[in-house]
Amino acid sequence: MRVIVVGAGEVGSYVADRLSRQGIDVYVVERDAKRASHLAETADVEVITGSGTHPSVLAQAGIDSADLLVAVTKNDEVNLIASMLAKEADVPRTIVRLEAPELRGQDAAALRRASKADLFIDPDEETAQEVLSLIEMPGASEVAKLGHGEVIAIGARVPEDAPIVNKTLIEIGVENEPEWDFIVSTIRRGEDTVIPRGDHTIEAGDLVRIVCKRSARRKVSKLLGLHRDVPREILLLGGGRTSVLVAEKLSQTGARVQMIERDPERARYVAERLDGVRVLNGDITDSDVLDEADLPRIELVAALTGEDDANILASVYAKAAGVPETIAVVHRLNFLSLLDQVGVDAALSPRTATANGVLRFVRGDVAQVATFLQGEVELLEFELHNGAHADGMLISELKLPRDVLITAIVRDGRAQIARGRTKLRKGDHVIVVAEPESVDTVSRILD
Amino acid sequence: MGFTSPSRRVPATVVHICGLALLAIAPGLFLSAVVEFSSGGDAGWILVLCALIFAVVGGGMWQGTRLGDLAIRTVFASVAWSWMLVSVLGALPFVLARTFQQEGVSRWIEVANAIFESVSGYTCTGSTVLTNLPSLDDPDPQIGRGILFYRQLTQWYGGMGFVQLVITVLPTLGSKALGFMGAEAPGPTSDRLAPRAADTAKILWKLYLGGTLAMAAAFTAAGMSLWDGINHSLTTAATGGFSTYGNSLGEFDSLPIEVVAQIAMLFGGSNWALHWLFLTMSRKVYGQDHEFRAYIAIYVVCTIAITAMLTAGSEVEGGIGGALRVSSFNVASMISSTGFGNAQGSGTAGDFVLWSATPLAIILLLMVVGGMSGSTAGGTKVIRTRVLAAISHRTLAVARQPRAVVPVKLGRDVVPERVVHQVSLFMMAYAALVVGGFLAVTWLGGDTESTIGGVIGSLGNMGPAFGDAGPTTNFQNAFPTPARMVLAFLMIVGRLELFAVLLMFAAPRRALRRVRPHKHAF
Repeated sequence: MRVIVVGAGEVGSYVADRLSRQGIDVYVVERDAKRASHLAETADVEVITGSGTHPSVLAQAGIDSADLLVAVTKNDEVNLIASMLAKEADVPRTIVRLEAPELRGQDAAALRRASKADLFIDPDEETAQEVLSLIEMPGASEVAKLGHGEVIAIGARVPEDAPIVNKTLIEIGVENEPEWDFIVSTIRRGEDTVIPRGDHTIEAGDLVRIVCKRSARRKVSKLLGLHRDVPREILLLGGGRTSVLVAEKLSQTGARVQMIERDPERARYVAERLDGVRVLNGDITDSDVLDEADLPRIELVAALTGEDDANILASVYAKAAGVPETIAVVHRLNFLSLLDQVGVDAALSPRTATANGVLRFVRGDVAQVATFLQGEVELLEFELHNGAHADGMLISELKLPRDVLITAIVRDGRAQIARGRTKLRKGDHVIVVAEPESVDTVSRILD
Repeated sequence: MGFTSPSRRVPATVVHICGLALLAIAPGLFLSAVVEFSSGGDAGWILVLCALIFAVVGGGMWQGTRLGDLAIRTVFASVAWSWMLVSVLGALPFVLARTFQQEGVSRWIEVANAIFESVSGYTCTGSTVLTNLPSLDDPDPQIGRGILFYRQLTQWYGGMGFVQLVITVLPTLGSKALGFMGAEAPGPTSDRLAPRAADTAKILWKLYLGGTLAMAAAFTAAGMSLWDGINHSLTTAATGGFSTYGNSLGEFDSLPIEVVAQIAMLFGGSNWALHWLFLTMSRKVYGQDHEFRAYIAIYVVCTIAITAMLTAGSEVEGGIGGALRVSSFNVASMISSTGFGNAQGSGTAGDFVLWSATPLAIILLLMVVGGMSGSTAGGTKVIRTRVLAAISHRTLAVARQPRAVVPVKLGRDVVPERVVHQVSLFMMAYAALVVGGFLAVTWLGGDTESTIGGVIGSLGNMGPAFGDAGPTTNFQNAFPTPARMVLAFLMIVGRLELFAVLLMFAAPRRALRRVRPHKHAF
């Protein structure tokens, strides 16, 4: 399989690296020579220096035999043209990163059709959605939505006073009989992530991921020991696009939102665009600036700038000043495991969302993928096709490997938690926790 | 095309524009002459003579010069000098027809009164010094119908602005036309309705003509005679407020006429560009416009407040209904800066000078605020009040959080900093002019109450003031003649929104200084 990635920015580099690790031949097209050589040194991919809008450059990347083109530069127009050129060269599938709201709206539908791209992605939008999910679920360190939002996976480090601490999964199950609207999908203790069985005991400090129906999310957050109200006083650090998208949504819900942006011109632009959001101009690592936002009143700080160190430093300062909840965007994942020890309650990466979209395409039959920053498991959503092998079978009959767990099923838009006696039917969306190596096996068994 | 080739004409923008403006008034004078002749008045030939004077002088100034320098200060000066010239020369028919002739009044004061009336007319103020206006019971006119019609026409000319009218015939003006419109049209910004500014001016004038005709039809349908209907529609569309009767609209004592007048005044006091967009584009433009919403909100809130106060204090007859009738009418009259009254004579319900202090203070505030930008109304405009409120909000926010970046916004629309500064400067200049005008007029012999209303009313082109210059009286007895001249000056300053008049003295001086070393070039 051959994939061309146009743009070696943060998203492009990550996607290229991840695909290459899965054994796919990746060609990256990057205009900036410095970035191109950097990627060539750090990842096992072929890098071509040039513009993705030039047919000669794409030809050099082997466009004639490519199976997928991923155009993820910061420039919408370049991405669209690259996709159009790829379609002209009969590349079966293309993914285009599109950011301008004017191009994503109804008015530009004809343009998008003309580009013939199969998928439009917007990393900032995806990150913003993830931030909003975390804000809705205070205390959680991960939130992923699957099955059109009917199923939610909530991950959190369990505190000592959580009701599920020191209990086996069977005990927890008995307490919540007869209605099961959640299932413990993975437990991460130290560096190891396991898909637990009934006799597994949950300990304080474990990172527990629970898959639940949307209606049960309050109950699950109580079980995980996260009993906080949804924050109404929110401080966003950084005035980038993600931050603006988050602020727009939050201010619509009536929350009081403040934002700090370092660049005076950008601050002014953002202040003019946003309604009901107080914008401050200053450096987020300057404690005076943070204090001016009245930290003791703030219920949640989300650090969304492009600089990891600034995000982390500001989060730590906010935590020390008494802010109960902090979320930080981190771009380098190496010291992720340190974050919750220093006071960052939730971390997320703008790359993963995009990577998930791309991976779904590479795998073809998977409807949705959620990967987590910590731990080597993936949450996958399969759709059972007509004539699938699993159609009409009980889950207990499927002979799944030990490291695979079917957690939930969405049937006709309604979610239910999977049990051994659940019978699968065609059209079901099956939500599975699995280690990446087992994904192919699962796919075979189900189809 | 002309008999002089353009290159040989003297380049003098100010003279060129002034000439055109005078020329534009000539047809109005001819029309008045026709009215005078057909009603058997004796001033017909005087009006014809005036029309010829305007045509010849104006035509000479126009054809003898060509457009020269079009720097913004020259544009402003052209507009201001045109207004000065037209409104002062506009007194000529009154002077020649001896309209202001009175027992024991010297010829000089008669001329001054004629000028005051003319300025009050062209600036759409509507303050009058005429004491012998006819009434319905005594229709035999002491003043010829042609002169009365000309008096109404002055306001109609001034409402949409005659410079805006004349620039439509200057094809070479191009983008500079917008500068002329900006110098004359009320409000901090002007809307462009067509790609070419001159076409926008044409659209507005056509709309204005249509609106006037519609108002005339509505007045006639509400019970006025055709003569009264036409006369009052001319000054309602212009939100001027001249009436052909001493008791203004109170003369008719008719609720239907007052209702029609109220709607027409509010229409005139709102942005005419909105009316055009309503007709051509979308039915939703009124609801979407922040300024229009604020304008209507002010009208409703002030009407309710004054009604409640008048009812509670039993200040007017007829209980709540009577109070609502006089308050809604006077609020509409003031916010649109029209200045019609609905009192049937001195001391009756609509005479707001007899109200207690608080409702009177609300009337004064309405005089300061005035109508919408892009309307024919005066005052500081609703939009400036809103911008000022937004600036105050920002000042408070920044005091609390010094690093806060708070753009001045109206709804979701950002007000550019340039406009924010202009509005602040305008309001300061306005306040300074109120104080200066107050000092000058009281020094010249005005009493405190009349002067407050007189100065603010003149700057806002309202019409009636307070005290002895209220809705049922006139300015003749309230202010000595020199004080009336100061008020007349303030009317022009107010109509052109301060800066044009302030610049009119600067521009010629600069021009002279530049010209002097190269005298031979001419």
